[in-house]
Formats: sequence, structure tokens, C-alpha cells
Amino acid sequence: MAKELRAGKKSQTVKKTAAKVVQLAAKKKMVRKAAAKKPRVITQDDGFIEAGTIQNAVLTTAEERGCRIVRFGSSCTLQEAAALRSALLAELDMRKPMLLDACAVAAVDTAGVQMLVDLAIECMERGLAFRWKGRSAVVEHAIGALGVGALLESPGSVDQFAGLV
Amino acid sequence: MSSMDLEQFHDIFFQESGEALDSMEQTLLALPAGQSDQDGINTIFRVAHSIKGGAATFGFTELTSFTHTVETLLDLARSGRVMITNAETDLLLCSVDVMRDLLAAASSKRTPDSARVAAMQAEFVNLIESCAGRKSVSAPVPEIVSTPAVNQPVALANASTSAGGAAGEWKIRIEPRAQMLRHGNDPLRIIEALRELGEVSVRVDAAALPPLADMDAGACYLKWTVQLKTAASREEIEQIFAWIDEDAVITIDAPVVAVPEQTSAQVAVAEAEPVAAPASPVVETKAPTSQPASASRETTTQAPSAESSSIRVSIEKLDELINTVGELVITQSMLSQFATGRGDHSSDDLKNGLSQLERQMRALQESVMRVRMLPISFVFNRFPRMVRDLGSRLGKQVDLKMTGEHTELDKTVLEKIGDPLVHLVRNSIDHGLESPDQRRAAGKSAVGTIHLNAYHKGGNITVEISDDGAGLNRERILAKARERGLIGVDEDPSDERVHNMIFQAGFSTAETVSDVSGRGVGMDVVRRNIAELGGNVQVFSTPGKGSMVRIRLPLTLAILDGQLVRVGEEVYVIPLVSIVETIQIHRDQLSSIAGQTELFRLRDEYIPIIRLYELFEIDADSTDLFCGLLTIVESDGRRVGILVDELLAQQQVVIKSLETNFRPLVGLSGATMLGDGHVALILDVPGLMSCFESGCGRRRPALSAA
Repeated sequence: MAKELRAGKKSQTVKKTAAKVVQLAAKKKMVRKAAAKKPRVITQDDGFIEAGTIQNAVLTTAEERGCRIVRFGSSCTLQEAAALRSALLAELDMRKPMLLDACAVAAVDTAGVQMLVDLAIECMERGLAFRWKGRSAVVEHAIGALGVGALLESPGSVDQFAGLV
Repeated sequence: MSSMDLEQFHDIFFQESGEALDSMEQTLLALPAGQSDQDGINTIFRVAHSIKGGAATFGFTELTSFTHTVETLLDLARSGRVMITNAETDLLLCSVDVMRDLLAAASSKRTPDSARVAAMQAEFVNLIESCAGRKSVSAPVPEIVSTPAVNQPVALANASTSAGGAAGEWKIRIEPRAQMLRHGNDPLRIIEALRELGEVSVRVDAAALPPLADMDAGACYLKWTVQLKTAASREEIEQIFAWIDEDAVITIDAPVVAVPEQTSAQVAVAEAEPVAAPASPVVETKAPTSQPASASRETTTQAPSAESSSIRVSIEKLDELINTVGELVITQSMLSQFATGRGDHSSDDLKNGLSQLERQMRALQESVMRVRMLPISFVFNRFPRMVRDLGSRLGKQVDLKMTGEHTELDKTVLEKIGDPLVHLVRNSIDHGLESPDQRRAAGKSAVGTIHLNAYHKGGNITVEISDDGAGLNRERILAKARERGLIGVDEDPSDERVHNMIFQAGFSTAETVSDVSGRGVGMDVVRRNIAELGGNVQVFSTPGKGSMVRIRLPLTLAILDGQLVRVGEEVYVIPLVSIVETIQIHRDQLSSIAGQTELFRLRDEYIPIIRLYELFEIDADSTDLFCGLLTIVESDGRRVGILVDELLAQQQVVIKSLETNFRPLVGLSGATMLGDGHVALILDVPGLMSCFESGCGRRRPALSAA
């Protein structure tokens, strides 16, 4: 009887171990997934653009004719907000006119729109010129729904952007 | 959100609604009859409103409709148009039962008792019509109270009132709190949802937006004012904010249109108050699962109606657990240094480390046990309603006193002690307390008292149920016992023995049998249930002064104080609580009945002997009775001697269920792992005795699966 019990216990232990292995494998997979999804900031200045990784970038930047060209990535949501904020702060610190391109944005939420609004206000407060190169339909819809269109308007035409837009 | 998504919240809704109903019931019981208790009525109204909102969200239409009717009556009470007297309280208490049934039906996906619901709803409609002088039950008109919106977890506020359904332009202010986005509540989706109700124009307020460097990227700083042109009702609009919970302050200003059902008084109030949020008056209408549930948690007034598979644990207990685990990790790293041989360590250090580990393991064990501990108020809270109903049915005035409600005990024990306590309280009211006339004649107050008390004592919990009634009638019990042949005609047993007779199956001294008690069924079940929990029950009584039933229960069922005994190569655990004594047998103390059952004479008593090795079909060192030891165990007032080879240590053992891990076995209550990794079986003393008495324990019984 005791033997029978021990055998039962052993088979349970084997089952538990197998379940643990499966759990661990799933956990590792999740960690890998999370690492793959981690928002990245890619700048041309670093020579860091790579095919395949650019899709995950929250922001890609380049400089042309003294203007910073800031391209927002495919996703501009709460998940990317912190990385986006750091990248935008770095751009603001360069104190150069900015050409903002949100044409590739396929997903946006209130956190993303709020970031755009704060960037626009910050540009105006710092006296930096900015202009929109374009915005995707998704971004336009969110801006309209949240009623922030007026806050994102560029303050007048700026010569620096001639030929870039 | 798809229906699949919503289904995952059903359990939470059922649990919180159950707790909210418990809170509603207790508030109803505390309402002073015939007097206005605005706070109490508001609490009850909020509960009904929350349940209605949740039920509507999840599509439980019958519950929604019924709660709406209840809410209408409560709204009339809030506005002072209905006085809550005993009749209304009774009706509302019945409505609590109906709502519980509806919740249970929804939870178990069965069809509710529609006839009962309809009958109850009709009673409410009649009462509403007679009180309000109306012919139809309309949507409840929210009362305006001056509660600042900022104080509300969710404030759905308005400045004027509307019956809803009228086309107009609603003004909705959305003031997110910092955590709103992180909690998955996106204003973008909310505004899009509002857009589906009608024409929307949005104005944003970005004044709170900080500089980018100071900004918390996950916080929401923007605020919105939405003008919504729609024919939708307030409820439809509120539905959109149902999941906001504490993440935002939502202020809804209804369109100022002609509202035929508004009373002149309410219009006057609405006009008098300026439209300015958040200082504007708000309607205390909230999203489901907000205030009532949390309020009931704070006061720990909820009582689970059935065994539940989840438990709520206080942060304090979890912190304590985490702290202990942290200390264990430090000790483990200290001990692993010995294994790697690094550093200069003496054997004393190792001993210290091990004793520290032992101490921390004990602390961890206690912390984990505390996680399962719940206050006994979970059980006690069902009694005010029961006492009230039973008292009025039996024409007795009963005052229920409860002390020690915060005494904690294991959740499993707690769930199993409920029914025995119900039996005892019912008995106290029915048999213990006299009628008001009898009490007055005996020089007592017409109001009888039932006192429920709980406290910890010596590692056990003691629950006492006492009353100031007539006490047990010794003469009547003795007469009944003699009639049933339980005692001899000339025998004069002690009070204790007489009192214990009430626990005999089928023993009742009641002259009349009612549906409350008197059939002699109950007290034997009470004692058996308590014994199954490893506890015991005592009765004390003073004629004319009252009686008291004292129940002692173990704090937990997960750990057992056991005596390890060896039989051959196997080790068994005998619960310490069952052991009377252990002795060596002398020849002159032995006798047998019909050459089969061996009896041992212990002082003036003959005790049957169970040879464990025969029962379990194993090899033992001592098959001769005089070589082994006899452990005398007791259960339910009966004693047997168990023959074992050797007594080992006494220790606390963690009980592992045989039923879950193997299969149920007669005579064994569980198993445990010993320090050396061996499995030791825990003896089930009552089970062993039953097995023995049924014949299978005599000489060569076979171990049978239950």
C-alpha cells in the first residue's frame, strides 16, 4: 500500500516536473517575444538603420539641409510612449527645425497623441520651428476624435522646410 | 468587447454582487423602523444600482429588470415619499433573497424561478403605485445630493436632472486620473463610443500638460469636454463609462429640456445649483463594482453563502509573507557558502544557520497559514437576519449580541462551521428562549438575548453560543433518556452526562415538532460535523438562567499535531487530540469476547484492541500483545486501544489529501511526508472505530476503499 502510494507520488512528481518545464519554456518564449517587441529608437546618425529592425523603431531620424527629419514608427501608443519621449527630448535638445512625418503610423492611442501635442507645445515654447510632412489616416482620425488638431498646427510657414515637404 | 471577453468578469461580478447584497441586508437590518436613515437608504440604493448596472452590462436581463424595480422604491424612500417601516424592510429583505437567487441562477446558468421574481416584482410595483400615486414604474429619478465629485471613486455627475430618453445636447466632462491609460481605459475609445450615440463635438484642455522632460509618458494630462447630441438615455451614456472605475471623474450634464416627470422640488434644486464641476452637486450613480463592494470589504460584513474557491488576502499578510521569504533567501545564501566551502566557517556557524532556517521556516509556515485565515464575522453575519426572521415567526423578541467577530480561523473550517452554528442558534431561539409572557412571569426582560462569542485559546478557536433562556430541562431529558433506555431507572447521572444526551441521534424533548426544530435531528449532526473538523462541543446550563454551547475548533485543517508510531517498517500518525494515553499491557488486564474481540481492562473500563498490523496487512515486530504498546484513543465518547510497536516523535505534520492524490481509504484521513522523505499515513480514529465496530477490524479485516 505504501509502495502504491509512493509510486503514485512519483508519477505525480514526474507530471509536476513536466508541467514546470512547459511553464519555463513558455516563460522563456514570452521573454524572447518581449525582447523582440521592445521599442527601439533608431537614428541614421548612428548608422544604425537595418532592414527588418526599422519596423520596430518608434522613431527614425535624419538630418537634411539643417533640418531634423523625424519619422514616427508604425506604432505610437502607450507601449512606445516612454521611448518616444526620450527620443523626442533628444531631438528637441538639438535645437533645429523639425519636419515631423507620421505617415507610417498604423496604431495610435491617446498616449501617442498626447505625446505629439506635448512635442508641438514644447517646440513653440522653445521657439523651434516644426512642420508636418504628413500624417496617416489613423493619426488624423485620433487627432480629430480627441479634438487636438489646433494644438498640433505649425505656427506659420517656415522657409527652412522648403523643398523638404 | 466581445461576449467572450465579458464572460471572464462574470465571477468577479457574482462575487462582488454577493458581497454587496450581504452589505445591503445588514444595512436593512440596521435601519431604524419608521425613522429616516438617509445614509442607510443611500447605501442600499447604491448597492441596487451597482447590481443593476453590472447585470445590464453582462446581459442578465431578469436581474436588471428586478433590481430596477427595487431601485425605484428605494429612490422614493430617498426622496422621502416612502417611509421605510417594518413592512418595507421585510419586502426589501425578501428582494435581497430574490436577487441572490437570480445571481445564483445566472452563475450556474440555470433558469431562475420566474414566478417568484414576478410575484415579488408585483408587490414592489403595488407598493410604488400606492406610495407615489403613479400607474407605471418609471426610471428612478436621481436625487441631487451635495457630494463633491472629487470624493467619488467614479462620479457620474449632473447639474440638472432628466428622466432620460429625451433628445438633447449632453455635456460630458472627462477628467482622467493619472493611471487611466495604464489601466487600459483610453479616452480615444470612449469618445469614439460616444460618437456612436450621436453627434459629438470635442474640446480639449491641455493646461495640465507638463514640459516633455517632466512628463510621465504613461499618465494622462489632457481633459475633454464632449458635447453630445443624442436621443440616448442617461443609462446608455453611463454604460460607456461603466469600466472607468476610479480612473477618471466623469461629469454628465443632462440637456435642459422639459421633463414631465420631474417634481417641482427637484427642478427647484437643479435650478438653484450652479453648473460648475467638480464642486457642482453630483448624483451618486456609479459604475458597477465600485463603492458598495469596497465599502463592504472595509467593514468585513460579507458572508459567503457557499464554499468559494478564492480568498481575499490583505496586503499586510502578503507583505509579511514576502518579508519572510526574503529572509529565507538570505539564510539560504549563507548556508550555500558552507556547501561551496568559501570563507572560514565553524560548525557553530552552520548550526546557527540551520536554527535560523528552522525559525524562518516556522515563521513562513505561520504566515502562509494566516493567508488562509478569515474573520469569523463571515459566518456570524448571517445571524442577524436569521434571528430577526425566526424571532418574528416564533413570536419571540430576540436581541443578538456578537463579540469577537474578528477572530480569525482557517477558511475551510469557517465554511464548515456555518451549518452547525445555524442549528445551535435556531435551537437557542426555539427551545432556549421563552416567550415574552413567560419571561415576564419569570421576572426577566421580555427581550431574550442570544450571545455569539469567539476567541482564541491555546491554539484553538472557541465559539460560544449562549442564551438567557430557561436552560436545559434536566428532568425532561432524564425522563426521555430513561424512556429510550439510555440510562437506568434508578441512575442519577452527572449534569455533564445529562447535557451530553442532547447530542444523541433522534433525541428531542420538544413537545411539538416544528419546521424550526424539535425532530431530534440536528444536535447529533452538530457534534459529528464538529468532530469531523477535529473539534469538540460542550454544553453548560443553569436552570432558569440559560444555557451555553461551547465549541472548540482547531485553527486549521492543513496541519495536524500528531504522534508518530511505528508498526513494523511503517510509520503512522495518530492525531494527538485523539490520544488518551499509551500503556504497556499486562496479562491480567486482557480478556476476550467470544474468543474474537480482544478487550483490555483500563481501570474500570474494558477497551477493545485494534491490531493495526492485521488491519493494514503488514508485518509487525510485535504480534504478541505484551511486547507492543497500546495507544488508547478516543472519539465521540468511545475508546479503543491501538497496538503499535513503538512510539516515535510528536510533531506537526502537513496533511496531504489521500482522496486527491490517491483514493479515499477507510481508517485513514490522509498522508504526510516525513523528514526523511517517507510517506506516513494519518489514522482516522473515528473511521477506524467504525471499521472495527462493523466487524472488519476484528482479527483479520480487509482494508477497503471507501
